[in-house]
Amino acid sequence: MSGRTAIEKNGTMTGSSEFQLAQPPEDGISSVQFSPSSSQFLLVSSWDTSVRLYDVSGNSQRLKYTHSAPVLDCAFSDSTHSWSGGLDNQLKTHDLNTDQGSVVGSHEAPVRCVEFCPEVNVLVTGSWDMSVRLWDPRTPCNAGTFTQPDKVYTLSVAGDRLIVGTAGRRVLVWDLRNMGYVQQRRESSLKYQTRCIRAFPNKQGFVLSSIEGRVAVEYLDPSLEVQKKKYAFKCHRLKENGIEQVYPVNAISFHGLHNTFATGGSDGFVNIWDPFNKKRLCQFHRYPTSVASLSFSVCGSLLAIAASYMQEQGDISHASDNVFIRQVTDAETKPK
Amino acid sequence: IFQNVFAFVGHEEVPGSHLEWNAGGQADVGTGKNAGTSIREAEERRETTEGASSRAAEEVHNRLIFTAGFGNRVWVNPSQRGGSGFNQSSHAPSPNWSRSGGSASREIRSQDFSFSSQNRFSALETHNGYDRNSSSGFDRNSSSGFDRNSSSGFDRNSSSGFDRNADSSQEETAKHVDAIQNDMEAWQTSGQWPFSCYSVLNGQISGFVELSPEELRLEYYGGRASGDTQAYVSSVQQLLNQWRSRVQELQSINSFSYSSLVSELSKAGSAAAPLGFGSSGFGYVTPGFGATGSGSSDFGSATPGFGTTASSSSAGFGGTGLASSSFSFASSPSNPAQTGFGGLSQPSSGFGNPPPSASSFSFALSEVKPNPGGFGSSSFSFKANAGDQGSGFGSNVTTGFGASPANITAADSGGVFSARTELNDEELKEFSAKRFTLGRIPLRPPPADLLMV
Repeated sequence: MSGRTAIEKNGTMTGSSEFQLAQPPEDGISSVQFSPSSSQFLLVSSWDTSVRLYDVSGNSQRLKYTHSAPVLDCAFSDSTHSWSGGLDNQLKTHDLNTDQGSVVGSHEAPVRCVEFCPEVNVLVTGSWDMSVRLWDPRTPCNAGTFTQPDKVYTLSVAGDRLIVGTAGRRVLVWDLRNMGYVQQRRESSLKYQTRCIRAFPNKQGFVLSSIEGRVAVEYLDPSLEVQKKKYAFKCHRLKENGIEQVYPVNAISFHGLHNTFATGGSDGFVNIWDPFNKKRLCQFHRYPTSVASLSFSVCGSLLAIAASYMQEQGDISHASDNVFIRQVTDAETKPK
Repeated sequence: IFQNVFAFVGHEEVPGSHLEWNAGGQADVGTGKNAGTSIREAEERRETTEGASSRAAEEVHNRLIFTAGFGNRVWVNPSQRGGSGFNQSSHAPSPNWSRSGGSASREIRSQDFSFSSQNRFSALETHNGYDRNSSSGFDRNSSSGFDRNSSSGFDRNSSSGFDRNADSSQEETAKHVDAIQNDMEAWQTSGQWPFSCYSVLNGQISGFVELSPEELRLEYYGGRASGDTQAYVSSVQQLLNQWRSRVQELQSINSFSYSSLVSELSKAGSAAAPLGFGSSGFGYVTPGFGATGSGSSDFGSATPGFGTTASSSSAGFGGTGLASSSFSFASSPSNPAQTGFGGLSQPSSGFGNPPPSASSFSFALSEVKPNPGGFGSSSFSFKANAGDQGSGFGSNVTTGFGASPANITAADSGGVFSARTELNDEELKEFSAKRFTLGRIPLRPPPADLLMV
């Protein structure tokens, strides 16, 4: 497996199934994304203003480009094109073969999320300017601006639908083929700020996490019988001195085949959940600092874990920011 | 009474551990292994939690079980009914809001989406919303896993309330008051992120500033780049003080002030009243709303309608015009995204592992990372020590900081909002203004009539 080759090369071994990426970014990691077609390539965006492409099998950094400010999210539109946006308010694209890039457009405030919708072939950005913008990756150019009720904190694509999570616990579902009006307006089932939303690969619903150590599993079908199935559970909490400490759940990533999902929190743990049987499948060792982002490879055999201090406690000394690549097994990710 | 087999505790790796969750209305009361033993127990359980299944399903559907919880409120654009991907069958595609016990095949009318007080709060009389007391059998100490103890809104959909009838409105109130108090207590001691909205019933409680960790970090980087972290530190400190006083105010909520909270929420007529959403029409009222202001499908158009206020967000991330307690970090109107980021290459404050500097703060009670400068170098903690509800703590930390709160006492005026007469001129001026002035943000809640911007 690719992981083992990497260990023999220049990776730092942290266990037989896991290694650290060489040449990680020099500041906080905001997002990790595996390529849609290959487990070999990983895109990493960072507060050091860079977006880097790594060859995971060889554990080497293949290329790097920068924005003029920290980058908050990145995505592949296909195996050779990356998209990224951040505090410079700009959306950039980069051709990973030719190492050429350009600014495609901008928002009025920082770009918080960048996602690609393969079904509709459109790139989506969400921003603190309370809008979602669509972009045509071919030209590339702007394909519309759509106001949201509040700052966009997270978004996810389910087939041809877009799920947007904003401040104020709002959740909106849009039809990317028809953006004339919102398809659904909802509120999060959770009481506190929405941290992350990810859609199920089977497009039946989504998982939503909050800053309060809790995750909700929700369904898109608004019919009563289906809505009854939704539920929420506590996670990423630790007892310290008899008092429960509550951590934000920052990251969610779905295993493409099994429809199980991993969550990562500021407690430094990664858990893998089976939403259908409502079980926790696995928990890995504790990472040195907060887990900021997670990405399963498309084949489902690797999980990229960005352990990156998120400044929840201001400026303190903390473990360095790193990306861990972990081999995952069926036992850890498959429903029983 | 309610005993549940809950095998999962703590954080050890328990591959395949079976966790139970009885979602509302479902028939499986327990695992297979319970079925044989203790049938009586199972029957008791079934009665309390499965009351619904033993009654007519019709009755269940006709009750407003889903209006009490914000979790199941899904507004579906009626124009989607025809050709969307959902199976929008004869069964009403959205929860049945009407109390008339209407049949499932009723046409959806716009008032069904109005979330008017008539529909929403009548639900409180019939349903046991919060089920915090059903903790028996659950390990309250487990800090993860699927459990009934969650105080998420979803619990309101639990079936345990079905067998209750009216006249539990007092109980309802007591339960909600209890829930709010517990939430506030937990919020102060758990190190939980303080800059979050908080929602109870169907509305968001005012007085909370919402910032994501990235937004806060942006402010910090801006301050660091411009060389002035002190302004950042003071701003955060002020936000924390506001948060703390709001939390403590809610913690001392009693049945009376709770009722006025509820009536304020219902008066505003929309779920997110305290945030002014109702006024923008962005709520649940007009099915056709989506066509009016929410988006533009013109290719190339770049101006968000609602978001034109976004340009002001360049001066801060206070959630412009939304929360009554919006807050702007910026002391100057420059765009923070551009403030000094070119200077990110500055060597010393560096990347990756900056030395602990002046602006560390800790959510956690225990390990505040050792800061040799002590309080003088502006470390501050989000947690109130147990038994020290903010007074001594507050005085320690505010020493040396600029803005000291004018009046932190959680004056319970019997309601959530202050009467106009209670506020001084400066506070009234701040509330009347479009945006707060940094350093002059009132710590007391606004009068209800100044909520809408």
